[in-house]
Amino acid sequence: MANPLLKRFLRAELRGSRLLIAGGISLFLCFLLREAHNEFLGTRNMELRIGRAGDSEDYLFYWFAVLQWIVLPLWCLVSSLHAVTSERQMRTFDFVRTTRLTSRELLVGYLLGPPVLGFVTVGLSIIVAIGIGVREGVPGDVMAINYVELIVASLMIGLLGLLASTLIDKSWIAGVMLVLVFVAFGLTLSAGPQNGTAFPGLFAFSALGVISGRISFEAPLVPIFDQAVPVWVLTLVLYASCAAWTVLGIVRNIKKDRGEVRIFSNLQALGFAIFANIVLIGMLSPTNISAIAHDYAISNAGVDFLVMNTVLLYAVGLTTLAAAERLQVWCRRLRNRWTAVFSTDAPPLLWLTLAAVVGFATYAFIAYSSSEIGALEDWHLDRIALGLATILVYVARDVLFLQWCLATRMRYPLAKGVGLISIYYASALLFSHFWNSPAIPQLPIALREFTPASAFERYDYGDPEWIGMAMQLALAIVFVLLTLRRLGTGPRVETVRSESVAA
Amino acid sequence: MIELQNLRKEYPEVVAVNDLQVTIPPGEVYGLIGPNGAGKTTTIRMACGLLTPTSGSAKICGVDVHHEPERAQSNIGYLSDFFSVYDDLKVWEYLDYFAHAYKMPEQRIKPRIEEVIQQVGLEVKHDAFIKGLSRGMKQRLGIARAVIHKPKVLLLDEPASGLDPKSRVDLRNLLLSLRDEGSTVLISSHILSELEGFCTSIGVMEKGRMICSGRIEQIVADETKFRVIRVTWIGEVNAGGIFGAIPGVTDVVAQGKEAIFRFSGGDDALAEIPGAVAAQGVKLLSFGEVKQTVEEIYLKLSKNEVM
Repeated sequence: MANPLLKRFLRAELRGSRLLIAGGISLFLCFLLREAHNEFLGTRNMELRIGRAGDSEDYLFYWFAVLQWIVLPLWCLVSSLHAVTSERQMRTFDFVRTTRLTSRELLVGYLLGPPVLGFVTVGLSIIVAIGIGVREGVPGDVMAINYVELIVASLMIGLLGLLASTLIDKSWIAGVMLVLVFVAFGLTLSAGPQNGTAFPGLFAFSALGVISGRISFEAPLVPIFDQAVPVWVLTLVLYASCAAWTVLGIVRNIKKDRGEVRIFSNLQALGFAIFANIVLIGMLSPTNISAIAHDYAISNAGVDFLVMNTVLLYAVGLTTLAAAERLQVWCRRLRNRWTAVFSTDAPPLLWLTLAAVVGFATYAFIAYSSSEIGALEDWHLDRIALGLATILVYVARDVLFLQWCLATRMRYPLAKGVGLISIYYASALLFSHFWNSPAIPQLPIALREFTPASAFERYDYGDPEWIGMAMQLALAIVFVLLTLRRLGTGPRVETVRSESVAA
Repeated sequence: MIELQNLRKEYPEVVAVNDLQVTIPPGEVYGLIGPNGAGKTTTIRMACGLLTPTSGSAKICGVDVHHEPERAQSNIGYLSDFFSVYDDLKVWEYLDYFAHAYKMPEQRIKPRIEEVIQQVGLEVKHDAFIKGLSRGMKQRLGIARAVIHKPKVLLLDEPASGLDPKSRVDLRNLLLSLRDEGSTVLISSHILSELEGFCTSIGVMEKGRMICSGRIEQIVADETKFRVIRVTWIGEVNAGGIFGAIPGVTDVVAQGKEAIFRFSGGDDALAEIPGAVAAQGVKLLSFGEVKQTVEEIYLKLSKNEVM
């Protein structure tokens, strides 16, 4: 075994007694699942029709698949989230960091090592499930694709957990992240085919929905760069891409001190923005959607695009937040050299702006290559440009606020910062909902202007709403400038130089 | 050898390590002394590549730790004050893991594990699970881990914290044997008695600055430009008047039939003092030089700041 870290986990986890317990639990769960399935069939008063097309739920194999899709990713996520965090808490991670293990070896060890007992448990159930699938007449390629997707998805989610684990040092934060990531993953799993969007390929993010249909029906096709491909191919490509970017972040940071972690460099973040926008272009397919949904999808292409770029800008901002110590170095450099604004240690404003420019260039490409979208008055380039600029201001405001939280070195700066921003947006939402007074109809809209929601609306010049939006935008810009000024000034540092003596 | 050149670490509103400049030659045992918060741990963490310095560099055996961390770390053994070990492994498995992590040649690993287990006195626990070891044994296992790859440089951050007296003696003997084998050791502590008689050089840190650094004899010589003399007598004596009048004597502190004073003259002048005071009717019982300890020098250098 070439990887010492992986070997350590295999030694610790795969001792005889643990293996026996894991195997016993796995087989017992298989038995319970079969009993539950029998009960289900009895309730429906149906007989299993081996080899015939029926509902997915009729197949015991499907029941196994669903359970495996829940257990394995969850096991990988829990294990990897605690992999580095627990070592930090035990104060053993420093010793690992001072060995000659490379970042890649650490990644492989922490990704595959901690959940190894889960691999054994689920692996046993997979063997049983394949046997059941063969007996039920489930096509071999369906089973193979299912398990390839399960493995890729589990590794991807394990990688996300490991990346999160490099950022945190407390178990309770790991617990919160666990819930958030798994809820997000669950939501993507349960998403069904989207007819009302010009980006139907996004459906491929959901693997489980695809499986349920595939057992009984033809695998749905989704367009990518105008080529119809089976959805599972796109799912694999999307998951593998997501995993690749996560690997980049982990390898860059896993051997660093927690206070010096910055998920991506500026250029990597920009590369991520370009990549994500290219994927968006690839998924855009206004001609491949049903006629009923066509007009709706086309008219919403701009909104969809802006929503996805909002998420993307937040991702770029969060992955390029500068560590507090490095930010201080940057402040000092900035006083001497203006070129420091391009530094990796700078606050992420410049790179957010470039990511927004990339987004706009992508949309321009879409508009010019799709005459349908380009011709829509609501989504002319100037409207998208204004929308992206508005989103950029609000994202910059939030990201710089988080950067300021980090710079203050308060306890749990990111958790507190994200919490405060969440309270802010929840308040804006509540006010606009409950203060919808007929006497002052502009009020909810005015309140909404405190959020990027205005980017998705169209106001005419001179309208009260337009004035409200402009004022709130101006306020957000002032906030951005003030935060930048505060970050650029930097904290006061003791400047006494030592009179050191060389030995 | 260890070279710290203008090593500096800034945190917002505090400079943890302020332009440190230290060179520790091979075979030296260098004690880093200072109160809590002086910057000792930050210095050691930067020296072994765990922390990136704000500026300056740390070189181990000529290799920059931050430019070529993995190459530099093959020469470093690191141990910190409080730590855990993997309870679910056996003693030999733990050492085997780190031997592989340091990329030791496969054929050297097994004999080396047996060797270090013997060095730290854990032979009877060879196949025992770590969770069954006492705290002292775990600390010894930690030391075994730090030296498993025969590092040329050992960086030890308060290694004796929490050790019982016997384990402290064992640790001292182990480090002495490593020193004799030619390892360079940088060891930090805020308890001077741990380092005295063991280190060949010391550096005194305070508020991130190195206020004094060098070989112990040299520092003692530099800092003791005067000698401290203690005398006792019988009968009634005006000690301040008699001793204070002797050329080169200052700071006479008399209490009962005893006095301590500072003397800045040479050996000949010192030898004449008993005769001179006897001529004035003082019946001396004892007369001798009080040797200053490293601890006293440290207190003097550190302006009596809390240790």
